[in-house]
Amino acid sequence: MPLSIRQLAFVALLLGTSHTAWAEFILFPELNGIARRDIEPHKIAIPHGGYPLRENQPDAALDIFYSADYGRLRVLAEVDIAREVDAEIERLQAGWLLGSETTAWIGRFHTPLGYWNTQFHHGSYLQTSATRPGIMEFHGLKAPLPLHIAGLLIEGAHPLENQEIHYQFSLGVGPNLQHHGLEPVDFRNLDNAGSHKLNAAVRLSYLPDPVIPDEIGGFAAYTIIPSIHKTIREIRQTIAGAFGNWEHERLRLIGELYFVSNDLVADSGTVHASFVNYNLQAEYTLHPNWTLYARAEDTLNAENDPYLDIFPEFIRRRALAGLRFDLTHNQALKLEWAGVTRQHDRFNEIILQWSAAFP
Amino acid sequence: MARPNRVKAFLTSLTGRMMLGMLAIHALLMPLLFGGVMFFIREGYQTQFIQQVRSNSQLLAALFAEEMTQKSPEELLANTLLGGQVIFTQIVTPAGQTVNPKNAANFDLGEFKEDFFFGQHGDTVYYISVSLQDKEGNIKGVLRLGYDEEPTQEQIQIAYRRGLYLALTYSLLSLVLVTFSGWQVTRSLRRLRDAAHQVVAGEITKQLDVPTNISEVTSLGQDLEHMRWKLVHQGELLEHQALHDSLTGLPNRTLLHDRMQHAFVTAQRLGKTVALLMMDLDRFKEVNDTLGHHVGDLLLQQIALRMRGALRESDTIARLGGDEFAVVLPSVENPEQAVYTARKILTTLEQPLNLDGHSFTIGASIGIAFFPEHGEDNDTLMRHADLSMYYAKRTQSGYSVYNPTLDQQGLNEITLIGELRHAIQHNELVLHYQPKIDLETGRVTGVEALVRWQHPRQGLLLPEHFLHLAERTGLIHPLTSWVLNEALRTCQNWHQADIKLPVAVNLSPASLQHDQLFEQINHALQNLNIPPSWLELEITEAAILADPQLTQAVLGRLSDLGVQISIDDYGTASFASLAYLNKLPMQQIKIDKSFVIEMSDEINAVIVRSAINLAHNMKRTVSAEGVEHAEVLEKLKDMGCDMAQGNYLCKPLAANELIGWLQQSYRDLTDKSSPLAQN
Amino acid sequence: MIVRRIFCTFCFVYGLFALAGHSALAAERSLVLVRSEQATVPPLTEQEVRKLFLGEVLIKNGQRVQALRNLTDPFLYEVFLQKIVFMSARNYERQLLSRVFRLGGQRPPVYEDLNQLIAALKSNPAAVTFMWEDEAKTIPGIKVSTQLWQGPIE
Repeated sequence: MPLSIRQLAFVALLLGTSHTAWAEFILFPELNGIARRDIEPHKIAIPHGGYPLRENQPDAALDIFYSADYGRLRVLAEVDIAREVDAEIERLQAGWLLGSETTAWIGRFHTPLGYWNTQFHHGSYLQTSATRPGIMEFHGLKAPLPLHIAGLLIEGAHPLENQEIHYQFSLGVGPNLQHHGLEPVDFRNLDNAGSHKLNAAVRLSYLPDPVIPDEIGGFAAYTIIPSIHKTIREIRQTIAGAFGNWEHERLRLIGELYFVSNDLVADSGTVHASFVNYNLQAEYTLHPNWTLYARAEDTLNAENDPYLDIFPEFIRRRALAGLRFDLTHNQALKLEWAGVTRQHDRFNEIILQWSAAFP
Repeated sequence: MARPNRVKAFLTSLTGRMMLGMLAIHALLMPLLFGGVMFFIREGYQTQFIQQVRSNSQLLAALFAEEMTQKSPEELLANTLLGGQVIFTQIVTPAGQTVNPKNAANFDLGEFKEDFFFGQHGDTVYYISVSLQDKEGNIKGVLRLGYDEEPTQEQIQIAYRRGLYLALTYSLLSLVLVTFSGWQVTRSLRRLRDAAHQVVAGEITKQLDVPTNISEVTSLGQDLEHMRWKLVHQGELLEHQALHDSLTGLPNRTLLHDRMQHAFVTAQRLGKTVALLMMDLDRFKEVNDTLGHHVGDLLLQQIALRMRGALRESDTIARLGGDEFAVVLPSVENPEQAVYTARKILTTLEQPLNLDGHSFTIGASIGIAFFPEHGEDNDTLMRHADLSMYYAKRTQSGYSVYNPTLDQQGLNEITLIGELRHAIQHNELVLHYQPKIDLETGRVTGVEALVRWQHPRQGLLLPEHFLHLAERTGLIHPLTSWVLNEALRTCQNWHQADIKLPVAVNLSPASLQHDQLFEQINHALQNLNIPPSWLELEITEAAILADPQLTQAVLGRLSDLGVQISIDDYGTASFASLAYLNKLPMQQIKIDKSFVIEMSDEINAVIVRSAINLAHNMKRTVSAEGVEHAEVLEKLKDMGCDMAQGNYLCKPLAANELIGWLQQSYRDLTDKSSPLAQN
Repeated sequence: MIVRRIFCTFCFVYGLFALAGHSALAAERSLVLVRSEQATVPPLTEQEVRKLFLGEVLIKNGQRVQALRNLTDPFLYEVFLQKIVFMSARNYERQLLSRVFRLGGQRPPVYEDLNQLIAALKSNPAAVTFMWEDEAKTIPGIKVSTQLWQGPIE
């Protein structure tokens, strides 16, 4: 995963400015040990070209976060270095603080969808579980939704007596569909930016009390996804959904519901397909250092969905349970067991993850 | 006897040490670990409590501020107590009045002391105060709350107890596992130990087995097994070396005996005959002395190979030592078969040998004896075969089958040879001296040393009983050396006693051909510091004629040295040797006694006279041996013989006896009746 | 006799110390928001202070107010956590990190050295921090902005 000179210079700039009092530089490392057992070893995995089930593998990633304020100007960058992909600039945003509650951003940012994509980004330390819901995966053939946009984002909070409404509006270009999955605008190589098309999204949430994290909301997004596949010219995708986060004493519930409608436009005509995906995660704090969690996620109407067929590694169904142990105030160990169903295979997996946030 | 200390034994065992180590580690680390974990658990519970208290109190304050418009503060406070977590509620108005919950007994605090840490004031209540503000931010009062710390304390205590139980369980399990592991390891080590004991006890024929799954012990077991294999191999090697000749690889005497026994038993059972062939190489010593021991060894190896090729697989060929070999034919149908084998061996040996650049042939003598005909035990059969071999060598017939008539004579001679060797080494030989008388002056001009053997059983043996054996077996050389040294020593003693008599020593033909003869004589003379002129060497005519050129050379050197030379037993050889005799550096001719004793016979008298005249003509002196009678003495005087010796004059005497005789003879010279005085 | 005298003296001295210590531990202290004397930041409400220290952007008089966290006194910090943000230290850190990660910005910087804190305060006219009022009064160049809390402290 070598970084180019431009990337290194960029990191050096970030490091240089991090010494000011207005800058933050945070590292989110993680190490994963994954053991899988194929429940259906007799089945040939993927007929398209083969994405064999990796039985056991170690995995490592480093998420580098940077943010700095220069008066009302705010800069935010997030670079993810993972084993699977090259160092990728996940977020690169320049923002202007319109008020104490509102910020206008330009750059590449997370599509304002659901709860996971706005609350948790790359780097697993802040999320309780070791994994994200399948619908919220970022890369490759396991990520069916456009989670990164390049364009304009306005976000803020509007106070209502003792409550708050949080809002996010985004307009920009979304990903295009390549053989390895949805590819958002890559700031390392802007030559192909012209091949990306419209993406618009809105997210609204209600906080009964701004000081507590309880939240409930909804979202919608429309994306045109150009495709390099011979059989598909472009995909017109509409997403709508709802989410909620509720915490009471030791219990926390996070839930999301997605309705995804796709029009796959080909020269010969248009095929329509839609599916519903939901996930619900429950967390229980056994002890301040120990948190038990479980999640169920499922995709309805996924069978024979031509859009989902493009993403054979998308986790259509999963039931998992895990335990998080906070080693220190900034390090955590997680042990997670899951039963996973994808398009062509089913397997069990156990993940042992170490994650941290420095400083 | 002290009883074994089982406790001490256990504590010094591997399992014991592992257990002790584990206990020590646990004793050291568990408190740290337990303490550390409990600290974090306690801190977590307390942090959680504080978080709940602070966020709950803030929520309550917000709730109160909202509901105070609809409900009375007392009622709100009372509702708050219903939750159970809050055990104290109070509102302080801006005016300083305190409002307590309705229908509930608030305990009397005294002074309200707010807590900022868990258990700060040593009580079990966490007191916190929050300001009550309306929507506009106006202060409506201060809400005081007291949260019960006891449940959290109990949780902490439960966690402590569970932690302790867990630690103890873990320690116990560790101990059990360590004990089990130790037992597993020691079991493997015990197996290894047993295997080692097996080797130490000498049970090395069976392969060692150390069943274990510990790689180090497996490796040790393999090393032990390798050692065992090497021991077995070395044992076999040693056994082989103990039973085989190292030079030729043939069985040695010990194995030969064993093979013979086996052959005897089998032959007896089958009614067959076993043949034993004893073989001795001819002139092997000469080869060894001439060409060196290296060639001698090569010769023996070649002989062994040739013999092996001439024999069957079932035949045993052994080397007994030196140039002696033995062959056991375990099953012969008839004696001719053994003879055939002997001939075959001899024929094989006739082929010339090329060794180290030398080409020569060597012969052998083989003696054959049969079991059970010629002996039913090893020693008897070997002795008989040896005798026949000895006979074959003497008769130069190549091989000989044992004949019982050879037995006694052969046995005697073989016995005598061994005894003679012992006699030479242990001074059982004695020298007697016979004086030589000058016939003109009647004086003693010298003595002849004659060897005798004081045999322990047979008494005093004369030379004719053993000299021939000495010459045959090579003992003549040490015998001659002994005689020479002894005679010269006696001569030296006499000269020191002012008895100035030279001594004559007989040299055998073999001695004459000995290449170290000159050095031997010269060394003896120098060693004893004796002038060479005191020594006279008597050499038989036959010895001279055996190799005249060599004799001339040797005698020439000795004569140049100053040693006196005389021809002994003159007259027994052909007169054709007169030319040689004249060339020899000799001073005296001694007429053989056979002629002197029978001088009554006219022919003998003529021979004696001729010998005397010959000697005088060659300007040599002449001496007559074997004077037994006075008449012989008179005749010799008449013939002009210069000297004489014989029993009539004096028989050979021991050195000390001769001194006595010399003293007596001096007196006798004045006695006219003495033969010595008769001129 | 001498032993009795020594014992009585000991008891008397111990009692004095006990009383003195008790009264000293129960002193009234004030937690205040402070800024530099040159600062132009107006007084903030309790709610504004809370939002500020929770990482939210606060603009006053066209100026962005910056919060500095005072960790020179662990007890002071606990009072701050209890009275201003109503959270435990762990939750507070977690919340700050989560917010910054989502929205950008910075967590209020931490100062464990009083001199560095004062220097940062004086160098930035928009910066505020919290400390004990009696301590603030002894530091030249520092002005008390708002009283956040007052009460007996042991």
